Amino acid sequence: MGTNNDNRRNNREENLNGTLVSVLLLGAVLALSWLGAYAIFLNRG
Amino acid sequence: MIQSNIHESAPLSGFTRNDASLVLAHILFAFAALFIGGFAGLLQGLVRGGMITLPGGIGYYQLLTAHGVLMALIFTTFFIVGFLYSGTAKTMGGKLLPAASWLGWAGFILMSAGTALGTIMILLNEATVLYTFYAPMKASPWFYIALALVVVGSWLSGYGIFYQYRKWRKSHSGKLSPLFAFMAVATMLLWQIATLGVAATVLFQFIPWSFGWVETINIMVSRTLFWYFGHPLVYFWLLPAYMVWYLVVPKVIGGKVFSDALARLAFVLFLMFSVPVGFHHQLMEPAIPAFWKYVQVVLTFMVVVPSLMTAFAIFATFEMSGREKGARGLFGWFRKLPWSDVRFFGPFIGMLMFIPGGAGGLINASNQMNALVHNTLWVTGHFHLTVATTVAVTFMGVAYWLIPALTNRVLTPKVNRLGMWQIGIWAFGMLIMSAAMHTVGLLGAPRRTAYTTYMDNPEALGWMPYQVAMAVGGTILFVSLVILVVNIVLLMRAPKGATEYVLAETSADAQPTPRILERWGLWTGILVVLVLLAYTIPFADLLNHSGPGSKPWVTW
Amino acid sequence: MHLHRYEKIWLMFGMAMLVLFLAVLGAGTFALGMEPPDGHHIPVDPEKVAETPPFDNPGLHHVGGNIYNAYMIAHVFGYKPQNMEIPLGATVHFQVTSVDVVHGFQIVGTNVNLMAIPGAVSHYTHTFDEPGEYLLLCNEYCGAGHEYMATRILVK
Repeated sequence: MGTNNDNRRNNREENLNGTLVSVLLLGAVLALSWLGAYAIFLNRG
Repeated sequence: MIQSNIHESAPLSGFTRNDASLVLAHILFAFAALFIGGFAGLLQGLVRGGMITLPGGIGYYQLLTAHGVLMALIFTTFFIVGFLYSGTAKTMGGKLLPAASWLGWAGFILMSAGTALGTIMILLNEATVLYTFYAPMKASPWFYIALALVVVGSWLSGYGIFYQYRKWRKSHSGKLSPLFAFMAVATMLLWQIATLGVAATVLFQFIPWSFGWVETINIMVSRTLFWYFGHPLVYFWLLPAYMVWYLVVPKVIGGKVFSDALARLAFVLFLMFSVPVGFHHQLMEPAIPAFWKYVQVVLTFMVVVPSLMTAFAIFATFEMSGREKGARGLFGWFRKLPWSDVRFFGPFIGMLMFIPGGAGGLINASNQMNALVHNTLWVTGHFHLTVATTVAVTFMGVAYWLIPALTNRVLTPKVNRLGMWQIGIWAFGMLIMSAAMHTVGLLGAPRRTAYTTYMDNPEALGWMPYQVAMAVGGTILFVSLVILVVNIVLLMRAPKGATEYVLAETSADAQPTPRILERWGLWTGILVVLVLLAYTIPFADLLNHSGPGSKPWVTW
Repeated sequence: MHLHRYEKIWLMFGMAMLVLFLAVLGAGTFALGMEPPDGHHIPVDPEKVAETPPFDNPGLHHVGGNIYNAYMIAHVFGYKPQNMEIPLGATVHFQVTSVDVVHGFQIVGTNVNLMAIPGAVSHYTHTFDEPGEYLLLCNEYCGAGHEYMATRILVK
């Protein structure tokens, strides 16, 4: 299951490069905002 | 109108008159609540921005109570029930079974009666306790009775959906349920379990206490029962929006459901993990040990996972459908999306605003870090992004095709364009208002507070420019609401014709969905275990060690 | 159930991030003393606060060195004591209760942000390293005078 080359479009694994980049960007937004808020929290403590 | 393979074939035209009336009644009631609640919000924003003072006869906190109840309880519940009934009819037989229809109408009547009674009490200044009605502030017992009517009514609504689902499963034994039906059942099951908390506190604490049959109330128990309800409440709002993203949006963009199995798995995870987490709304309260707060924070972070799955599914749906249309490169598919179709644009704005909305939510739930934002306008900014944009604007986007589908009319290009404007204006106003709220909240400005400068305190004076921005944003939002009302009127008077009830199909070569996902007993059982683990010890402690309790206070 | 390779990567990244945040928060709470307002359950009869130690003597109390206890009472619509003075550099253990309805207790610009609940006592500790006048306000709706409920804390 899923041993095909993921970069070729085929029935099993679609080309989702854009999706991966998009969700990782989303993850970066989540991480950066959390860290920023935590920094403010530490600063006020 | 019996159909086979409901979730595979395109929906037939039309609803029965009864079903259309039932759904439409819920939808229109919801938008009426949104408009009235929105008017209250407009006034609140203008007051806090220092631009108006209220005439005698209506107080800021009355408006705020009305705003919270109408927006967070009435608009949401009515729209959700209506939407779920529409898909219940569509995907499980084409029309509602008699018992389901009866339950739907009974639910509508009880909920409407409760809404009317509650609104009257609020306007009479007998219930200026805000929609969270925290003890020991005591409203008129009729306010609590009104809330009970709304909740019990919604239970009946849920039972109608469960009934139709059970009948469908019996007569299609061995077949996978339609994805809409599965998600609708998950949503109403979550609601049923969640509302047990608020029902318990209202029925066993607030009503006897407010009538004077019982002298004191245990505040921490009432808060804990409320927030046991209050967190899954937001998932009750979110899941129907996710249903639109999973089921409707793929069809609008010309694609299919990304993964039936993963969508069901996400909903099962929501069912289990959105309930045993109420303490993250009580992080700044005494009497709950740090250990238990942390346990529920860990569980809260677990409920982030199905949202991460949903984000992936959405981008994947966009990309796959875009590549089918010939898009190339990393982000070429983005341009292939139907930007000028309000049925897409509405939910898309909802998705977009969930990025800062979700990020803020993660921060709010972060245990000790909650001290940074608790009870500040940051929290208000957060939920205006989530319920008031992600959920509300997704629902608005649905209304533009659902109302014509119910009334056998068309969504004309003109109304589509007006809808784009309406939603765009909402997004613009919300960006301004919510950004200002988040910022001024970080600077310490409190939520749920009327106009004040705390005797010209310099910090408080520094908040004023942001509160002016909030008033500007709020005014723009109200303009959007006015346009929405106009659009609804236009939809109700549009030319007759057929409008598609938009539901995507699963891909023909999708992997089969594991049947274990539909074992409601199993998932509910795990949910019960999680709730017992997360709540038993701290709750028992609150019950047994809370001192004499509090007598009623009427401080407004 | 089949997951696309990229979905696996995303979920692993996402869950790792969540675990990291939980670890940071957990370490802060349980090892570094940064827990949220305390949960030690000391019930207090809200009708007898004025005669219940330590609230029978509200205000700042020196414990030793730079350590102080501050016993404060929230009520409609103010705090006792008002305009409390705190020496610069003091580490203050706030203990707060309410005599009527639920109030907030937020010192703007700090992480002191707790709920004053009748019948219970909230604890939170803060070290005042910055001099100045701090706004202490109620951020939990408590009635008609809610927007006037505030006082100042003077650190010098």
